[in-house]
Amino acid sequence: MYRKKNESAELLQGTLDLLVLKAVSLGKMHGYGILLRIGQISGGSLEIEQGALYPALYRLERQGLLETAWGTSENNRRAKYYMLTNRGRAQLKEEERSWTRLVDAIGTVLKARASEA
Amino acid sequence: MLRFLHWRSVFRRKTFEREMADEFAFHLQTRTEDLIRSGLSPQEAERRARLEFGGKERYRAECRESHRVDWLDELVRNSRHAWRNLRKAPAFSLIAIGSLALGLTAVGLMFAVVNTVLLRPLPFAESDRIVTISQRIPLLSSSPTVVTADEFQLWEQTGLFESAALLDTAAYTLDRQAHPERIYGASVTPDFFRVFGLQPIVGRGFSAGDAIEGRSHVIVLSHQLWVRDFASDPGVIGKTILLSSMPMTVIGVMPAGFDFPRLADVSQIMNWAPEQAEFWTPFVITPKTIEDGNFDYYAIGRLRDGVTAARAAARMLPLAVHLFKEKEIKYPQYKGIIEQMLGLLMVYVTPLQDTMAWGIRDVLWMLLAAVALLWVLVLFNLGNLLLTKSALRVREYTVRQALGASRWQLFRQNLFEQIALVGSASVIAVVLILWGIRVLRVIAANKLPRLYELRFSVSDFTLLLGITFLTAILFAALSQLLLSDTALTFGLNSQGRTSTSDQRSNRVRFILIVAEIAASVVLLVGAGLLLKSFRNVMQEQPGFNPQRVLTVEVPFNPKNTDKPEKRLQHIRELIDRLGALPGVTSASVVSYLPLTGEKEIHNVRALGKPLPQNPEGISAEYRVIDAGYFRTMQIPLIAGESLRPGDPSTFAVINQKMAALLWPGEDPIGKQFKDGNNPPLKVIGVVGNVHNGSLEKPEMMQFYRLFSANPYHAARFVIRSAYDPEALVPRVQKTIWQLDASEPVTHIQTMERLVEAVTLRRRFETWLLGSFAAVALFLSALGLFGVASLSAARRTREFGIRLAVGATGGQIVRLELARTATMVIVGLAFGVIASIAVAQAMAGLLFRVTPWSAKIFVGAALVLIASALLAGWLPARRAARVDPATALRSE
Repeated sequence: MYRKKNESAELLQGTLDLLVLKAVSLGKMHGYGILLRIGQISGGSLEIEQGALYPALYRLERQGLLETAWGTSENNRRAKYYMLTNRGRAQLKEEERSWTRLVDAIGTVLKARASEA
Repeated sequence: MLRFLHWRSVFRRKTFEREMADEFAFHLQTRTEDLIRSGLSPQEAERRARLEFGGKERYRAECRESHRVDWLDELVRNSRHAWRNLRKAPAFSLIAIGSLALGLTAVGLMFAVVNTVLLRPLPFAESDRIVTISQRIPLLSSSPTVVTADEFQLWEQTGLFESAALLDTAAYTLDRQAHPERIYGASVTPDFFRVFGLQPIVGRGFSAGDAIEGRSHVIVLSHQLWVRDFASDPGVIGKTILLSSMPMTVIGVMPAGFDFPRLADVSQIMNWAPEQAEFWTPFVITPKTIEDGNFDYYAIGRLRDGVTAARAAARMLPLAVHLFKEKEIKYPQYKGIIEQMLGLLMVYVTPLQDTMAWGIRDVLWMLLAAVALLWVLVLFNLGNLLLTKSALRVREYTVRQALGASRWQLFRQNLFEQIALVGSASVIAVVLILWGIRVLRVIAANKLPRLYELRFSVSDFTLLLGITFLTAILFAALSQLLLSDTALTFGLNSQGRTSTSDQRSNRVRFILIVAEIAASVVLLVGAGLLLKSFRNVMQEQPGFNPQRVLTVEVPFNPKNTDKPEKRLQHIRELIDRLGALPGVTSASVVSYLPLTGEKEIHNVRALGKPLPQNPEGISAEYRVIDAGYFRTMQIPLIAGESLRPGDPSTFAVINQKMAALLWPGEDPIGKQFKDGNNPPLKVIGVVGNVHNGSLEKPEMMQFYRLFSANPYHAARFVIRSAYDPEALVPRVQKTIWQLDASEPVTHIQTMERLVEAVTLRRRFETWLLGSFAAVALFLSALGLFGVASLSAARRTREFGIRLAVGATGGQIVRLELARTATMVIVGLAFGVIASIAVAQAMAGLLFRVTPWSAKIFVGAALVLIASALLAGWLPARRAARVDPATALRSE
């Protein structure tokens, strides 16, 4: 049971990572803020539990794509802020490109099928 | 240190947990506030916020996981993945691991041998200062070996050496109740052990007092002899033992493993040496030793700190010249010869390690180079296979990359696959190497220098490990390069259609195959040249018929043979009895056997003739024989007649070379020559030349006299049998002991064994290079086969169409073979060019083969073309047999 969940999480991981990087790239932000931004970017189409964001953030930090610092939030609370590192920026650029190509490729395939049929 | 790390990690974990709790709390609070602002009641807002967040504990655990042991997790995941992939493609894995293991084994074994023989220092303190001292007097001897006692004394006093020693080989009969035993060793001047920096483990070594005439009856035992014959009894020190009926006092035992001089180590410099030294006795330099002026001794020394070998040699040469000039005054009759010698005299001071490796150094480097080439070939071949395999995995990579795996992650995963591959190959290789070392030690330990020390050392292992990892990284990088380029662009929609990146990997593949073929050609040509040399050596006649001849050495007990007549009587009796044994066709005796390298050199001069210009015409091998010797050995009589029993002692038989050099263009029968200062000898017959020491060096001048002329020579019996000579051994032993039970019987061996022994080194190198070439040929054929198969598979559809529109199977085969042919031709061209350079470098290792032997080049090319065509033809035929309908549907 646990295993199965893990696999679906793995499948999601790539997409979620991409979204997180994209969100952070718009400016330094705390976890909750990142979640809101993802909601805006994806037009609410990404349905995950909010807590699921944090393992992704920690992993990206561990991978050296994000860095963190404690600061004060707009509601005057102590909050942990995330920023892109240089490597994170490079990775984002690379993944954006890959993603676009993949989508294009799939699109081409689908179109080819449609015209052949 | 460990404790500190532990504390730190506990501390960090606490901080981590606290910060994570704070972060989650902040999230929930902010969310709650937002929800309240949107109109929910505080309780309801808090409930919703918690619900939206999900299982707090679960995410905490996941956070911990992704933060903490990321790399460990990945390690496990990657290795699992790597194994799964290896298992998924068993044929690929088998070929890859097999060829890598084979290559690694060859590299590892060869390096272990080179390391042992050439690189690893000798097991003595500051062994680089231990040198052999020798001189080359071109007229007397072809090898730089021997020195005279007076030269040695002069050199020893120069202060160039911390210690130095003169040595000669020695053999005694150890008298015991049962059958006596012959033991072999060396007589050495007192500083001998100091040169090696060694002390006896029991008792003492030699002191100056032992090297005085009359007080020299002392002996130091080798560890091996001590264990074997004296039961490791320390009480043997001070005891007196009988050696060839002489009482000798045992004064010491050397540590285990020390047995210098050892035949395999010094065979290149010493005319003969014990297989390993079993004892040492004092060498006494008497006025007579010096008067004789024998060039029979070997010298070693330990250079003083800071003295280089070259400087020592430069200082020693004038002293040798000085001595020769003194001799010139003393022996005016040799004036001419000595004048000639002086111009050519050389003194060599050579590190002992180099001396031992003399003659085999080039061979070993050649073999190591060949092994390295083979290794490169293995890599190319695998690179090629990997390319093929990658092409099939483009899809997998595309998906992975699309799902967010970074290039770096893919590379690491790739690396793991390669490590699994190369790693399992190296495990197999280590097992094979250890086994190979055991085999080599058994086969060659007594034939090649220092091989008894052969082992798989830490440095060999490190090298292997280094190669393994470099290979893995190389392969990972290679497949990464090809994949990341191909993957995203075309991975999903190209399967079977040509694209630009396919063309690129085709180009890489083409280059790899061409390089493989070129390397195979080089190895094939090298192996061909050695094989031809080997055949030439084997066809070289030793000068006698070695088949079915048994030889045995019987060193005589002085108590039986103190008078010449008595000894002669004894020898005749033995020849008669041995000759009368059933199955024996004839038996005879000689002072030194051919091929063994043992010899006695005399200076000869034709009476009434000037000295020949050719320096080979001055010294000749001298043997005393029994009248039946030429018949027993089947050495052909060319002219005149053979020696007969009762002939005057001034009669001699010479060999063809001596006849040609001393009396060019004349009939030598009846002519006279001088042997040193002895009365002139008369030539009554001419026999064929006989090789000594090696089949590859030209024969020397040789002359023979009857045993009765000089009965105190060593006695080696030769017995020709009608059947397998090995079967004679027990009866020969019994016959000798029937006559005198106190006589040791040693060196019983067949002549064919002796021939084998002198060709062993060549057999060894030919066999090795030959097997490298065979593996190379196989690998390059495999590479071609892979490429041809892939190409055929990719073009299945095209072929289907061609067949459908009327192409014949033969046309398809030709189409496919044309591709193969291009690669073969380009590879051959490069290979031949490289081979010309390699063959030139190998010239010194060849025997009667020109390095540019067209026959061998053509032969190598033909072998390669044949195997390549086969490798290309098999998949092409399969492609041509495809059913058009199936082929068209194949996508």
